[in-house]
Amino acid sequence: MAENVGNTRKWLFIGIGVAVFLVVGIIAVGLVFSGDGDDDDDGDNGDNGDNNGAEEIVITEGELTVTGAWMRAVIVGDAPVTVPEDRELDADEAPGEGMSDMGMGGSNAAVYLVIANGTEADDSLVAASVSAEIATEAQLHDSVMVGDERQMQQQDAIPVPAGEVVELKERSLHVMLMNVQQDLNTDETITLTLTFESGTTLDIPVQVVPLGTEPTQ
Amino acid sequence: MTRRWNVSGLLLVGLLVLSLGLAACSDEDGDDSVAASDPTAAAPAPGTVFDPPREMGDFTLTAHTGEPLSLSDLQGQVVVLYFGYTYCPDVCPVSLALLNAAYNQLTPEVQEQVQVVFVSVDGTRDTPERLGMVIPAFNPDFLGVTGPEETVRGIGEPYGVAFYRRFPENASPENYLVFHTSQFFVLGQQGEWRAVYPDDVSAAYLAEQITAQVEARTST
Repeated sequence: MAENVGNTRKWLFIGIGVAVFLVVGIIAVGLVFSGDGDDDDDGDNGDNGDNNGAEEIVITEGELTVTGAWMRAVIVGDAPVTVPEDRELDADEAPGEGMSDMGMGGSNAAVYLVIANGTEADDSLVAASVSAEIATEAQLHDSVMVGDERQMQQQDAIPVPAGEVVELKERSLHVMLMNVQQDLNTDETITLTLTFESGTTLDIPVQVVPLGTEPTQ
Repeated sequence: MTRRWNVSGLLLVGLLVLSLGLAACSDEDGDDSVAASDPTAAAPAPGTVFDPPREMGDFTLTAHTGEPLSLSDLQGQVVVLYFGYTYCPDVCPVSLALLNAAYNQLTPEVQEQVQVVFVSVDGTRDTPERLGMVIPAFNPDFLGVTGPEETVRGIGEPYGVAFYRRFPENASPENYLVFHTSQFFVLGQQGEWRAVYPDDVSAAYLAEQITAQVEARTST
C-alpha cells in the first residue's frame, strides 16, 4: 500500500510538472497574442483591448484620471416598441395607462471604465450623466450574484481611495445608461460626465464597441 | 494588467486541476483518493454535467423571425439556452457576447450542429421584431424566442430559472429591469438537459464543453 501511495505521488508530481510546463507555454502564447487578441473580427474595439490588460493602468500623481471607457453598441430601433393594445399587462406592471402611447422607451446599457486616483485624498464617484439625446439618466450600479441570479444594485457612490485604481467592469460595478434614446453604433464615441465627491468633474469619451465583443474574464 | 493575471491564474488553476485529474486517472492502482483529498487541489471546473442527462419537456414560443419555434424543431442539434431580455444593461449583453465568442471558437462542423437560443423573460417589451433587431446583431446564427411571461416562467422552472421585475430609482414605469437567473443550459439532440454552466466561464471553456457534447452525440 505504501508503495501504491508512493506510486500515486510520483504520478502526481509528473502531472504537476506537466501542468507547470503547459501553463508556462500557455502564458507565453497568451502574452504573444494579447496584443491583438481583440482584432480578430473587428479592429475597432481598441479601448476594450486596452482594458483587457495590454496596457498598464498608470496612476498620474496628483490627478484623478478616468481611462479606457467603453460600452457595447445599443440598438433602439427606428420605431418605439409599444405594447400591443390587446395585450394584458401583469399585475406588477406599474401604471398601464399611457404605456402604449409612451412606447417602451429605449434600452439600458452599461459603461465600463477605469478610475485612477493619484491624489492624496480619498474620493468617490457620486454621479454620472450623458446628454438627454443619448439617455434619460445615468446611474451607478453594481451587478451582484445572488444565488444563480445576477441583480443590479444601485450605488450612491463608488469609493476611489487615494492612490488606488477602481475598475468598472462587466458583471461588476458599472455606469448604467437608462432609457437610451438612439442607436449607439460601433465606432461612435459618446461623452460621459462623471462627478466626484471632491467636486472634480470629468468629461470622458466612451468608445462604442460591437455587441458581440468578447467579455473580459 | 491585473486581468491578464486573472486569466493566467484561471488557466493555472484549471490546468492544475486537469493534471491532478489525469495524474489520478493514469494511476493504475486506481487510488484517486490522493488527488481528491489533496488540500492543494483547486476548485473543480465550473458547471455541472448531468449523467444521465435529464429529460425535459418540449416548448413552443415565437422566434425572432415571427415563426413559431418548438424545442423539438431543433432535434438533432445541441441547443444552448440562455434566459434574458434585450433591455438588460449589463448581464445579458455580456452573456450573449460570451456565447458569440464561444460560438466563434467552434469549428464550422460543430457550429452546424449547435443552435444558441435566447429565451426572453420579458415578453412585454421583447416582441419578435425587437428580438430580430437585437439577437442577430450579436450573432446571425443565434435564435431569439419570446412569448407570454407566464409561459416562459413555466418553461424556465424545470431549469431552475426564476425572474421578476424591479424598478430602479427614477425609472419610468416602462423602464423596469428584470432580475433573472443567468446560466447557460446545454441540451442534447433529443432536447435532454445535459449540462449547466455559470455565466462567467471563459468562452474557450464553454466552446470546449459544447464541442464535447456535440462529439458525445456523434459518437453514440
